[in-house]
Amino acid sequence: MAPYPAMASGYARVELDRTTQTGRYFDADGHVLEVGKHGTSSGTNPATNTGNPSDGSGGGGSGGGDQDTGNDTDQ
Amino acid sequence: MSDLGPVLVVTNLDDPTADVVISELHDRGVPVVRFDSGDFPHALSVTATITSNGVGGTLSTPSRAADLTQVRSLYYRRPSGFTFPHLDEQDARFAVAQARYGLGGVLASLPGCLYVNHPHRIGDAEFKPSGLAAAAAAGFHVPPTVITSDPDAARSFIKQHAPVIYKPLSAPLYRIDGVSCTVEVAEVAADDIDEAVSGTAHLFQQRIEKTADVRVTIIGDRVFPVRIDSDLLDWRTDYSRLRYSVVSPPPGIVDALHAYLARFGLVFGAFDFAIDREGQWWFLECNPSGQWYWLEPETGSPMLEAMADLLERKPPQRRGRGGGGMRARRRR
Repeated sequence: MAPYPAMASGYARVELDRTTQTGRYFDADGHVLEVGKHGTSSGTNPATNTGNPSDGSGGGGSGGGDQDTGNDTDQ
Repeated sequence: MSDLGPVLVVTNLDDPTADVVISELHDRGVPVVRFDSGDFPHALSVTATITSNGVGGTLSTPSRAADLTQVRSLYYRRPSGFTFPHLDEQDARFAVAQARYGLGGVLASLPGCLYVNHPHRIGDAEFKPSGLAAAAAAGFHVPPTVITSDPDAARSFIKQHAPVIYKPLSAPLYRIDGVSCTVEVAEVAADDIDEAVSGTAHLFQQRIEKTADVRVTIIGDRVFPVRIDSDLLDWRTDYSRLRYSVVSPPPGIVDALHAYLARFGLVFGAFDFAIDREGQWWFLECNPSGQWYWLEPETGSPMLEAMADLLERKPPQRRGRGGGGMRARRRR
């Protein structure tokens, strides 16, 4: 086991903008961060779920509820 | 389905890709209702009725509501998962199961909704053995692979197919001192195999002597093949060392890509291939929920437009074409 490649989050807090339905990111001082300053979804290592596991969808066979890092390993 | 109904976006709050897709839909005047399974039930509610006439009802968030009969499409991204932290372990397990099969079951059964992708189909496609089997059936070259808990079988496979790598079959959350960890993909020799292999299932696969990688993203009927040059075994370990170029797939690949997705009932897929010295493409995997948007600024390919067109359910003849992105032939 080894840590995932470091992915700096670059923000302190995120909330949903009611009008745009997009995330609004804030730094530690409570200032809104510009779009793009909080990182992009390139790597696939958010500690969230993809697909089958505990996602509100039901399992496609595993019936599990395991949290998934969403990362892929590959050659 | 409805031309005027909303697009549902299911994801956690920190999802920049969802943000750009939602912004594009917003600019097009397409209503969006965004929510996360982790919001249920305190900030997400659903009341669905099922009668002989089918499914009806409403899904509500603090800022939006959706008529379940009018949902245009559902973009399934990266929800955080149900949690009931105020309950003890057993009650929480019960509550999670009810939420999953209740809310999750309703979301999986919306009449006329286009799923990008359907969460159950994602679940099916996330099993590596199923993916490799489907890839072989679709006509891809698939590296010889063994799944086993038998150390002797692992050793003999390695001797026969060296060089061989180990890959985890799935990457569940695994924290060491609070840090998310994974198994690094690495070459394995027969001498490395010990009795620990008998502890659970393991996947070993012949290592392709590759000259480059390819990521092919399919968004609806549009195909975005991108060659990735690096000196890495797994290019996802360091994005700063990658060079991207748009390529044309060898004959037969595009048909096979669509055959693969059709087999699982998917409309989006992020395929990874290794190119060997002869230029042959070897199927490594297809992630039904893979990241893709970072490739648009790297290649100039109109991927965001393709995703918004798909979710909007824009008829092909009314679509804008920004150049780039192969249009697949429809297969019947």
